Parts: sequence; C-alpha cells; structure tokens
Amino acid sequence: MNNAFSTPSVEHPIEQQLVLLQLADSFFPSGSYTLSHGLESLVQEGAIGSAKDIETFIRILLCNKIGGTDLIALAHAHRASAHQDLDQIREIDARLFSQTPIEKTRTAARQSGRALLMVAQKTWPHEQLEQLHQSVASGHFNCLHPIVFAVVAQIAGLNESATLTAFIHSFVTGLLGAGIRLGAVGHLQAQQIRLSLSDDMAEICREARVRSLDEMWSCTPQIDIAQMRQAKLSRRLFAS
Amino acid sequence: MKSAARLGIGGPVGSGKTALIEGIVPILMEQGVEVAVVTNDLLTTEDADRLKRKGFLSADRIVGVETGSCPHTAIREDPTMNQLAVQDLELLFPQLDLILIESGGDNLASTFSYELVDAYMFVIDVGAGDDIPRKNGPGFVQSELAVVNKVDLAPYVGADLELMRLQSEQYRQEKPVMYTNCKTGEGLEEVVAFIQKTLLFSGPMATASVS
Repeated sequence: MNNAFSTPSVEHPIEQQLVLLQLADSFFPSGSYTLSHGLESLVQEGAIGSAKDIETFIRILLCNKIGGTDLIALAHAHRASAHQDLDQIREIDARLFSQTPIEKTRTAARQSGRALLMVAQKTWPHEQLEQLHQSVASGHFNCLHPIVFAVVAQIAGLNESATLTAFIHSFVTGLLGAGIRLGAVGHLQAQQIRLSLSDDMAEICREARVRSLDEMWSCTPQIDIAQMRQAKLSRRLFAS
Repeated sequence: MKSAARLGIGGPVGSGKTALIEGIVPILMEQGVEVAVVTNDLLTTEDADRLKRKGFLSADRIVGVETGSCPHTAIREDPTMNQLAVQDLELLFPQLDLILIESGGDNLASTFSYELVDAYMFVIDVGAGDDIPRKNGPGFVQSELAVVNKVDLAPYVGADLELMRLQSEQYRQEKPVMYTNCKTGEGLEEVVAFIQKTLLFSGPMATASVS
C-alpha cells in the first residue's frame, strides 16, 4: 500500500525527532489524561499525599511493572511490525494481555489502544493498522495500548529505542499530570520528579530491549490492589 | 450501518444540563426517537442511583466517560474516549437515532469538536447572572442552540430576563436561543423541535421543505 506520507529514515534525524515529539506529546489524543494507574485510589485512601510518595509510586510502577511487561512487549511488537508479522503482533498482544490480570487496567489499556489506533489510522494510514483494526472487530486482537503504540511508531518511522523513549516519556508525564490534578503534587515538584526518574526510565528501556517475552514479569501488590479498588470508588475522576 | 446523530450539551456546572436531558429524553422517546446518552459528569454511584430511580432510559443506554478532571479536553482537544463510547453504543444499539453527549460542567469558553458532535447546545441559567450573554463566551456564542434555563428564578436572583433576551440575540447573531424551566417542562417542546429539525431532519419545517 502506498502511503501519503514519507517515512523518515535514520538519514533524517530531525524528521525522526519530530515523529518522536508528536507521538510522545501529551497533546496527542489517545485519552491518556483519563488514566491514573491506581494513583487516584491511593490518594483517596490517604496512602499517597506527598511529592515523595508520588515519586516512589511512579518508580515502583516503572521498575516493577511497566519495564517488565509493557516495555518488553512493546520492543517485540516493534520488531514484529518491522517484519510485517501480524500474527506475531497479535501473539505479543495476547501475551501482554495475560500479564495484565486486573480488569480495570486491561479495560483502560484496550480503550487507549483503540483510541490511538483510531487517530493513527487517520494520521498515518497503513495496511498494518487496517488489518489490526479488523482483528479488533473480529475479536483476535485485544488492542492493548503498548502494542498499538509500537506498531504506529514503527510505521511512522521511529526506531525501536526512540519508540521506547516516546512511550515511557508519555507514560510518566501522563501520570504526573494526574498527580497534579489530584492535588498530590505541584507543577514544580512534578518537573523535579520527572528529572529524578530519568535514570530509571533509561534503564528500563535498555533492559526491555534484551529481554525475551518469556521473561515478562511484574510485582506491585499494593498498586495492583489500588487498581482493583479504582473500579469501586464511589467518586472518581479517572478511568483507571 | 446507519450512524446516529450526535448532539453535545455543554455549559457551566449546575446550569441544568442533566435536568434538561431528563426533560427532553422522554419527549424524544414519545416521538419514536431512539436515544442514548454519554455523560462526562464526575462519576458517582449517586448519579447511577438517580438514573435508575428515574428509569426514563434503560441503564445500558447511559454510558459514563471519566475525564480525569479535564472536561473541556474530553469534548475538544482529545475527544477519543467519547468517540469510543459513541462507537460502542452504535454497535450495541444499531437502531439509535440520536446520541446526547453531556459535557462535565465547564466555563463559557468550552466548545465541542465537530469531529465528535454534529451540533451542540450550550446551557446557562439565570442564577449565574444576566451578564452571561454579553461576556461573549465562545461556548455560548458559537453553539447551534443556546438554552437559558431556570427562567422562573429570574425575579428572585435579580436577573433581567429581557436584557438577557436582547443581548443573547445580539451576541449570537440570530442563532436560536430558547428559555426553559426544566421543573415545569416550559420550553422543552421547543428544544425537542429544534433537535428534530436540525439533527433528525423531521418535524413540520423539515417536512415542508421536502414536499
């Protein structure tokens, strides 16, 4: 299928960076501002109340869950997309789905994946996206956000490393935005936290690239319980 | 598959958006219109209980979308979650004619993306002050229909309804403005007639133009 846009290659670093910025921007419409990943529940019950708590929460979530699940799946999905292997993309999606046992978290990951796919189909029209869209309709693709993100980024011309960077950046800034709106952290503190997380963000991206799908893991019991409680909150602003 | 018409309902907190929906949906249903509602209100079990008690629309036709305390983002900059809710309703109820999308309460500047809705109403109430029309807020000025609600309260809150009428017409440049009291049903038939004519292409005027 011929595409209306030209895919930036490694010979065009500025074009690559522009794609990265577009995809990682919190302005990019995929509903990420509606997610708190369990933070709202923890703030409501008083378990998180300070900037330090928020930083710890994000660090644990990154190092004990996102790095070991979403990022590994994302790296593999990027490779599968580059090899035009749609069966493998669907397989990785199913594997990540099995690593995401909390219903609310699954639903949120599917919703933002569907939103991203919808926007990407209009922005970077491509046969892989069309086929994945059909797979969602026929029930053969869960449409989890990290998987869709990998495919969209690959199609738009981002390399694997830049794709991981874009994903983790938007994940962390989205979460900090939620923390600000929940009143648990200020805008200046949020920037300090973002900076202090840089090393861990970089490390989990590097780690994810050398891990196999069989090595996916996570261990965040308190956050898991908070994500389960989110669905039961009598008053809530966030979808997760 | 046919696609349902989409009507946004915006306006400040407490202006009566939910009450307006509760008033117009039964009238639309009486006229044979298949309706569903997407709401961006703060999600509470109280709301769900209230809707269950009202029972004017089956619970599975009312979908709540969380907005992460960004009500205007959810209807303008990033309406994707509302679009998905609309798509899901259309799949579940292929017979739908109309989907109402109620914004969480927002300020006078909040407008809807026309990639989400076909048209939108902007609801204000006299209690918020009779100077609202002349503040020239984009939501109030640009909407397809402006609704001034709680008109019965005007004498009690010192609002000059005539001034509001005059300035609404002036600032909206002849786009329609309607005056409602959702408690008594005053003005609701006109709002429904507007929806029928503008979005569903039926009613006396549309029929006349066809024949």
